[in-house]
Amino acid sequence: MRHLIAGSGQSRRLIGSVMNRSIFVAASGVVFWVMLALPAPAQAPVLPANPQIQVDYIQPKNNSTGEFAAIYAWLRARRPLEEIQKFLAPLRLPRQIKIQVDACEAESRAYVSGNPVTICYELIDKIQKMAASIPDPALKQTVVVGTFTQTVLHELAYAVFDVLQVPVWGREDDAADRLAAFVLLQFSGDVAHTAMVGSAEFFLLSRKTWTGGAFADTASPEAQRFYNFLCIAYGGDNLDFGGWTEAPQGQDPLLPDFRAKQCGYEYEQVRHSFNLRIMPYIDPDLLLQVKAAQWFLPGEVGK
Amino acid sequence: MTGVAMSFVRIAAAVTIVLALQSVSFTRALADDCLPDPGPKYQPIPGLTNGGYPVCYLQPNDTNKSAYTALQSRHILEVYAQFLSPLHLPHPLTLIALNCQPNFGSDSPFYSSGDRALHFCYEWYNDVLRSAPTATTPQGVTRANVITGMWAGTLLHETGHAMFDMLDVPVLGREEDAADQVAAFIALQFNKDVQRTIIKGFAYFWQIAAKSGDDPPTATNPNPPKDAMQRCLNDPLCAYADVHGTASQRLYNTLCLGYGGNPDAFKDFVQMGWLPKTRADDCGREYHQLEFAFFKTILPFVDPDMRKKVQSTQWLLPTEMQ
Repeated sequence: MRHLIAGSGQSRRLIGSVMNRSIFVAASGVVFWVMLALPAPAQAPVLPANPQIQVDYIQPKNNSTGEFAAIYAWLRARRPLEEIQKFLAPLRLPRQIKIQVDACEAESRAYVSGNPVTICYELIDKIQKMAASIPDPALKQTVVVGTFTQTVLHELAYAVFDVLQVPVWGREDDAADRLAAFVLLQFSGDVAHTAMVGSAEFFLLSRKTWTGGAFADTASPEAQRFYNFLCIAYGGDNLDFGGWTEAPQGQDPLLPDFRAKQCGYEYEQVRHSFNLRIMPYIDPDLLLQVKAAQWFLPGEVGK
Repeated sequence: MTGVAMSFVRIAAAVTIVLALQSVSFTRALADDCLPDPGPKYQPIPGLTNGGYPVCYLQPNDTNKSAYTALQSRHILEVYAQFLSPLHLPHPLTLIALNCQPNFGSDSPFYSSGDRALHFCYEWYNDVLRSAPTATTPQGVTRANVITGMWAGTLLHETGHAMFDMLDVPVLGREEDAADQVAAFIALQFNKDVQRTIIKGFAYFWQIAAKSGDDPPTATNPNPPKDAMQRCLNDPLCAYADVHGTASQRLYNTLCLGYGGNPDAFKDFVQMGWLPKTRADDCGREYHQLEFAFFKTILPFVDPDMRKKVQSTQWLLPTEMQ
């Protein structure tokens, strides 16, 4: 029965967010990052760092409200990019990739071959501000940790496509999302739930109204990304995420039936692409160690 | 074309899986019902023969008779079968022109893996005729551009789905966008007139669709439709659940690949502001991403000598490119 309870629970939370949250305040942001910087002690994964991955946290010049400094302090304490170095231990890369956190004056910085992959303070700040509006502490944690993790994998995907010369059909931004979602879904329920539910909730909270020329953007609308994540999650695990296709009498499910019917196909399409073009670069023994490791600290995952 | 009518286009892929199962029995039952060529008979182009693309025109209903006559007299399917002849798929791809209503509940052409068939709907052709402008638009799009660009672009789009299926192509992005990329990329391998006809016609169709209300709504409908799918497509959030990009996304994706693949031929798109400069700056990179994917995953199945012959053949009539 785990799937029914967990799935239904996630579904209700996400439905609630659609209906109840449209205005956000970020007053408690700095305090929130300090709280995350002091997690309960846990055993860090004993894995070698990928020697081809370099990481850096570039100290931000203080923005007007000082939030970047708080984020920087959290990053230096929690060191999530060093975790990513271990998480990617199985990936054999023919050349180095550097991942950095930097101030971009935008929420993202496009990847350019040979340059670092950049996670922008502005996006982390946005994640934190969106999460601050969520009353439920567990869901708040899920959004912060899950979205951050997904963001790192999304940005890394561009470099992986480049370095491994992966043919990319479709829009690259969607391919990066689908690859990130697929990878996160290969892990334990905690990791998969935190990343998928947190990211989906973030997309809902941050969605804007798109019209006309806005659709010329290479990035996809937040609502489109929301459904892409839901679909890959449901397609890969229709037990844990089955609640998204259920609804009380007279209401519509979060994931509409006509899309849900295709999700198994969509998931298999990504899996097939991954196996064909990326799996040959993955060490199978290290992969098992990565899958067996505990990646999130107990205080970081929503219940 | 109304927004409601257009919404059938957007949901087409969603029903394809169901249709794939139905169409196995459907096409087998009607395989003997292909209409004979009433003449004048099609004269094949020498040297472009490949038995892998059988064609079939099914009997049109009264509403679709003019569409059948237009398509059949042009020998659209026979011509397209020869156009595809350099592509060696592991199984035959049947090209069928047919009434899609009421059997399939949609006007939209589709590829179905269940019978490895490309279904080109007579109704779709009629929809395109209704959408095509009667006078040249400010962007320089003619009625002929839209009609030709859409039948060619639609056949190429559905062939994209067939290639992904039969050639086990890794598709990391969204398949509907990838199928649009196939259409644009193949069109861009021909001379400038062909390029501009197909890119402009295909793009303009999606612009009309967007203006007709096919992009997701920005406000909640106070009287949501009773049908669940229509209710979803009328909802500002749920409409984004569609597997297709929005009409406006398809417009800009197509313009971008045109400009990225041949900046000289399409720079007017940017100059007149049809393709925003912010997107245009990325289009060369997007085209090269597509070219790389095509070379890696599909080109190995294309006969190089036949490909050269296809590229040097004039496929469109002068009147179709005006």
